Amino acid sequence: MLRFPAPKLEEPAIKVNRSRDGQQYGIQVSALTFAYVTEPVLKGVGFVLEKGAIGLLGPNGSGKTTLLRCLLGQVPLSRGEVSVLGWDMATQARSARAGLGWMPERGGVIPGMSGVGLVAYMGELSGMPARDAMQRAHEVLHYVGLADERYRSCQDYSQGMKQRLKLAQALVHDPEWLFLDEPTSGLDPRGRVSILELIRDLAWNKGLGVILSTHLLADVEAVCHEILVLRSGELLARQSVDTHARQAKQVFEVEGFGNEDAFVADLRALGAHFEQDGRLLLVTLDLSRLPGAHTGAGFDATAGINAILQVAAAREYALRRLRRRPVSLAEEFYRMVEA
Amino acid sequence: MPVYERGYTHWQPSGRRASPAWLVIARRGVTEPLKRRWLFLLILASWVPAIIKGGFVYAKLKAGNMVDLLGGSWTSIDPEGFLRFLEGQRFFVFVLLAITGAGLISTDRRENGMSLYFSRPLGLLDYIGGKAMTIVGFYCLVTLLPVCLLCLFAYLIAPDATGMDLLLMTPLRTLAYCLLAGASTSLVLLAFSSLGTRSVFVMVWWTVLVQGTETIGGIAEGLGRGGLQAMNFMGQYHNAGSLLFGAPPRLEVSPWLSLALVLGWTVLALWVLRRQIRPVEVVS
Amino acid sequence: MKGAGIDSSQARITADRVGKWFGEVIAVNNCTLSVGTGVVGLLGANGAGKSTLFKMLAGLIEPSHGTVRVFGRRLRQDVGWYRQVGFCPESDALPDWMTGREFLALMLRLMGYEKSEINRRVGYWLERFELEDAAGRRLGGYSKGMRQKLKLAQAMAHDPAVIFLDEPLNGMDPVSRKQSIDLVRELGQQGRTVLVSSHILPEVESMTSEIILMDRGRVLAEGAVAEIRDKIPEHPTTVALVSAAPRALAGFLIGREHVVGVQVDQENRVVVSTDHAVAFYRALPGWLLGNGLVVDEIVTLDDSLEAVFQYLTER
Repeated sequence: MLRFPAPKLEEPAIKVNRSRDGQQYGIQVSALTFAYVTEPVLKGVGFVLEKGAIGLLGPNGSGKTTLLRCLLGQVPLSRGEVSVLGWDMATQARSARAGLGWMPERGGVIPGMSGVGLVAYMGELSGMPARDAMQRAHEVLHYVGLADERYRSCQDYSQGMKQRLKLAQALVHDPEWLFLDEPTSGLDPRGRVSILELIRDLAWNKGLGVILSTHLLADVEAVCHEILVLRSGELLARQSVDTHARQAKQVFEVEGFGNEDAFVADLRALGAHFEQDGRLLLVTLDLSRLPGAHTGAGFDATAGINAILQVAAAREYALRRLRRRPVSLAEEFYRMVEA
Repeated sequence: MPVYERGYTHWQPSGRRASPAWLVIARRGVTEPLKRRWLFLLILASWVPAIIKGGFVYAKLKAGNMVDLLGGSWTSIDPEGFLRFLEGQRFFVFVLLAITGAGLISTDRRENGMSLYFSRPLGLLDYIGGKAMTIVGFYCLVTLLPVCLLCLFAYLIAPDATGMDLLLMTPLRTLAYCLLAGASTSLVLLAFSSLGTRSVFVMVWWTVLVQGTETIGGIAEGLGRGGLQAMNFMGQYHNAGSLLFGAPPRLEVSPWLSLALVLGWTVLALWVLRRQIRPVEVVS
Repeated sequence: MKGAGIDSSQARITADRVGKWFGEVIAVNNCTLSVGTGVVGLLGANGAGKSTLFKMLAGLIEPSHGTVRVFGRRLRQDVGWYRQVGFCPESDALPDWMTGREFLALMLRLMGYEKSEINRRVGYWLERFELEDAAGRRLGGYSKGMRQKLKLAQAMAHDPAVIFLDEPLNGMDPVSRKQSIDLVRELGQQGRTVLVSSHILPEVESMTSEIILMDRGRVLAEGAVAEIRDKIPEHPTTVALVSAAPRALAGFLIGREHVVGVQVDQENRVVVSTDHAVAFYRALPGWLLGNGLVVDEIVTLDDSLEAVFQYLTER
């Protein structure tokens, strides 16, 4: 299981700033309402995003793709405001697009060109001089792992290579924000892991903002520290990964082997409740019943950990895993959508 | 000595000038196909009539008017002669445009390439203009370039007999003709391309339009119904061109009618293009 | 018997030295495997021969050599047994002119059911997959997730004992994915054999712990993930401990037996390598409590399916 701590977003080095007057802007949306014909697809959506990795989730037909098109300025806006990098997308969309990168889900390759030719071409279309675009194309293709194949014609690429190529063409002009639509679609496990690592590196270490629209919660949990949830055109909720909780009732993940019955019985004597989740045993402890758990600001989860360790030592129960169960974005999402 | 960042680095602009988007599209559209050898050879083959004409012109300018009787319009260096030459190139134009132009928009539609284009800072005019310029570029390679070279050649071998009219006016007329006719033809072809998703189908429609209408028009003329030549697609361009070149029209159709028809279907092509592409650029 | 890699006399699906050639290209190279009841995952990188093997097991293509048996029979010869087999293909080609209800009814008709039974089953499965509202619309207007649900429905509607699912969650939104995963687990618990081929390892992990891993046309591993993990000697078990005082903890652990290496990584975790995992796990609570060492987390890093996959397929 890949483990991702809280993100540290470093300030990038000297960087071309594509915002309207050189300030640091993010994405601001307010009261966005849009209908293709008569039925509104987006209803009063509003949020403000700073640089970071944000997951965009929602069932089919919730308006995710439309929202991304609004952020790219591909939609005539009559109600509401969308401002990206300080530019008003209703009137100044083209200036903003110089600082945005888009990775579509389907297709997205131009047959007949080599990989490096395609990426350089896209760079030129984004306003780079021809030589800069070609230099950047080579660099970016090395970064995404297509160095050996970059001279081959891109219609010969496998699915994994095409996904990397699409990521490269989204990066060639050094955008401030990346919009990714199902970036791991069709990839095998190795390809998935490596694309997610690239995206994580870009969002956490290189100072790009990333909006990841996907159906795979595993991808979101691997990369994002925040999610936006849409349903039927409305912004249902916004969630961050929670790293600290100071409540009395805590859930711990336990996995191990040995004298299970005795282990469970001893914990039950401490007032624990149990639930099974796949291989994991979920132990809910009320920390207020444990000595030394109460601190000045709430309850300390390590008291629960120590209590379980004591029982394990006493019963010679071998522990493979023991930790406070982290809040899972997946569970939050289900709870929200099914409500 | 520092060790530099080996991963993703930010772009340090060099300060060179960037080209506008339509020029980037046009340049790439012309240079990419030319990398294929057989296309290059096809273009060279399309210059063969020009070389033959050059031979006749040389013979006429050196040997005198006897050659006129044998060569007919091949030897003519009047504006009319060059218009006939352009008319003679129409088959090469048809083939070259089919090969280079049919897939320009249809491939983008099939491979979802348009969403890549329109995530860039460019608009409908850049996209259509750039693609149209691509086709005009190939059109001129087969028409304008040989004509200019012929004029230069004729002037060089007999400067007194030819004069400024040949060196300057004819190339200028040809330039105007090629740009206008080329632009109109390319917009029609692009309109077809925007309606299909496979370049093969677009080539079929293009063949029906060009060769089909020419054949039917020719049959009609043979049967005495010359007025029906108004349906001959390529013919209308040459017919309207007779106004520019000061030559008598070849078809039994008024050149002004030809001009009106050309304008009409150009506007129609623009309407189709806008209708097909705008929903990708700006969803409505 | 449950699982993968079991005794072939008790297995539902067996493959015996199966190979498939396409001209010079060998897709599947001498594979032998057996699958019992329950859910089993079939995994492999692209080009490993997974889809070819999958199609041979489901009876869609003939092996170049070797035999595939389902219920002890060769499906392409005993075609009546196809009634006990359900197949959900990866490709998206459905007849666009039919409505959802018509399509499902047709599939059931092909299996030989009578009209009243067909209606009952169609009604049940459309409701189960929440497709009743769309059932009267043509398939051409369905979204990708809805088509996928319909493909799953036709694979299960005739109550087969063996079900083959090829990338079953493709295109589904997260809620439908969870519902489908729960459904697959339920089918496995009912004693059916469900063979799932997928690239999305976290989802396979939530469906089952039994896998068959393919690489370069051969079967590389068969069985429970945890057992497979223990059999990879080149990679000693790594356990990460999160503590407020990582250095003190690291210093203590390096002196213990069963500990092969200790590292403090970039996120300030103490990562311990051990070649005797069981003994280490058993001794750890006593060590921590007896020496006043406080930890926030104990996590074994590489017994997930993704880690096992990576170790087995790396060059």
